[in-house]
Amino acid sequence: MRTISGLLAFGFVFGLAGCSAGLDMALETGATTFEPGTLIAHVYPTSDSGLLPQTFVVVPQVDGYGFIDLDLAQTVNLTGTLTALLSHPWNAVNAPTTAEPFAGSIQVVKPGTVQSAAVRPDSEGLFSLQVPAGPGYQLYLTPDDPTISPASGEAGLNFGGDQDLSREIAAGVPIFGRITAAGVGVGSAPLALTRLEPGPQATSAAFYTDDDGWFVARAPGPGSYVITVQSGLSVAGAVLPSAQGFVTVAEDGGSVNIDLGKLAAAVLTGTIVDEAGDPVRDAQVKLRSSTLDDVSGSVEVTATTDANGSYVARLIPGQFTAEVLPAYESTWSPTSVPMRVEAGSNDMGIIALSGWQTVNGVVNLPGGGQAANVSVTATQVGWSNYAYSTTTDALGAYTLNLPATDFAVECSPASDSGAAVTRVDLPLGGDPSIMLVAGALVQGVVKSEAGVTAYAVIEIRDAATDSVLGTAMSGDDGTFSLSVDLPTEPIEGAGDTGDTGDTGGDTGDTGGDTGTDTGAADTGA
Amino acid sequence: MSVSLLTTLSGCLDFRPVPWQEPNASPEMRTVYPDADTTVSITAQGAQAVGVIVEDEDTVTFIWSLSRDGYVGTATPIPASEHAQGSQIKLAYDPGLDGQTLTCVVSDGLSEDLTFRWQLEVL
Repeated sequence: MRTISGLLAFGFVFGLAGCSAGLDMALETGATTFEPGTLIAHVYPTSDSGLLPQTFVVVPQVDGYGFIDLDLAQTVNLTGTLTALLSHPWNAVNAPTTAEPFAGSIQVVKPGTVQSAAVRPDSEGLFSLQVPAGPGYQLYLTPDDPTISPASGEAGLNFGGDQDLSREIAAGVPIFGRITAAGVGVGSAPLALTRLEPGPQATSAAFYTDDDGWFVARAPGPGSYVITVQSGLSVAGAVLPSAQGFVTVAEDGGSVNIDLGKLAAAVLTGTIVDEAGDPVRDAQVKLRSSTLDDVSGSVEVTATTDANGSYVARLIPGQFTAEVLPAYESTWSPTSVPMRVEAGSNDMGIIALSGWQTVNGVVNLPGGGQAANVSVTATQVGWSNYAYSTTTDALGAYTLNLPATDFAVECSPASDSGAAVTRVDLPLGGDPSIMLVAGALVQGVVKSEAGVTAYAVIEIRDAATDSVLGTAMSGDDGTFSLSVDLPTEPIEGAGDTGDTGDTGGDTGDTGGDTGTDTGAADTGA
Repeated sequence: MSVSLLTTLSGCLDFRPVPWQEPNASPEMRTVYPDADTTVSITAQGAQAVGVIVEDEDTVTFIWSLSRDGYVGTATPIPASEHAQGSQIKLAYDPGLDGQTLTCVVSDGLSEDLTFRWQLEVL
């Protein structure tokens, strides 16, 4: 570690406050408010450490990232009993007064981080959760049956130590309505209710319309909500497009009706074969609508091929794209085919899959010379996002057998190679030669109150894009080091990122830091 | 009898000392998260990471699979320190994962495999 100047120390303290508030703001609004070069570090400690995965924000200073302290918070126990005042679905006024054990799930999560825990309480409503200590948590209570008890959320929870999180869930108010298709009620349609405001966007478990298309669900209170019709097959076997209906709920509830349009039945059949004409089994056929006839919304249905390579899917008329995705262990490439689906039977015939390609490439060091012993991972762009890995030989050469698609290739050289984890696009048929970049050095130590934390996995991401820049593991002394290739302009002039005087930060996380190092990391709280 | 046997053997066999070879060591677990043999709860609020890092002087393979869906093709390696090798997957919210068992088999191809299992629960 090294001593930093007073100006940097000043910037560091406020940098923590600023970045910490920025993270929460970004997480809650979905905005990317980070300064260029800001990194996110997800830390996964070894399970026998008694510590849990945690996320840090790493703010660049004027001359780099310095030596980063990733100070893991201790684990806190959240226990308690959940009970719920269950209501008859249509009862808005005469709320029940007898609470029963809560049947559902409880989740505590810090948005945008890896800090979360979820569990189902037992039959008595008792539960126990463990999360890292700190502020900025949200709590979600999701009952199994949203027709008698509302899904709800709370924000701004601070867990400084073990805590009793017992709650009695109020009965809420009813939201009711009807789902129809060209005026006719749609039975067994799967629905979900999401609260838009106020408070966190709690989404209910699925609930269903009755035989005539009517539904009712409980909302936690007045506010703005959206009812979502979930795309796919209904329990009754009808194909439903996705749809939404917005509703404002008052003190005594609210209502909304959604008409899906004309739903004509269509059945699609086809066969998937390989280059030799032999059937390909266990391939997924993902059918996504681009436009639907007489219906708004969209439909996505997945079918799987049988031993004869045949598949059957129920749809509604419209223009679709079929993505054929062979299983990972196969040696066939995915393909995509547009198709027009009419009411009634549709035979799409035979789709033939091509084989794999062999990619022979060389990885070179930034200053020239071949890069030996580099981990090379090619990840499919789109499709199934399958990943294939190998290691370069002494001459920096690598060979990968890959499906015939576009790939993104990540090269991870040894930490002492002077090269950064480097990502390049490898389009189908493209040049597989890769030049490593020097990148920016990220080094530091993983520790906690108990001392250094060995063998923790540190995943470094670009805060602006959330893309993974590299992964390292802490050694016996808790230290780690890796070079990363920043896709955004990094460090120059970024030392004042925290000088905005933002007061929303978590000063608690700076406690005990004497400011004698440049560890610009915070738990993002 | 013994003498004649030894005499005979020494006349037809080479008794030079054979170098002792240490048996190949199995991969040694360094980090696993979450704890193996536990239930991993997957929710709509972000992907759940599951990872294994082992130490072995040989090249190690990590094979991930789901009890119903078969092989998991999205695992990525974790480049670690010398002799340490790892693999990680991210489990996004998917109701179809509920009730499945996730298994990671770690093998150096020369000695006994290491196997880690997690029960998946979608909440």
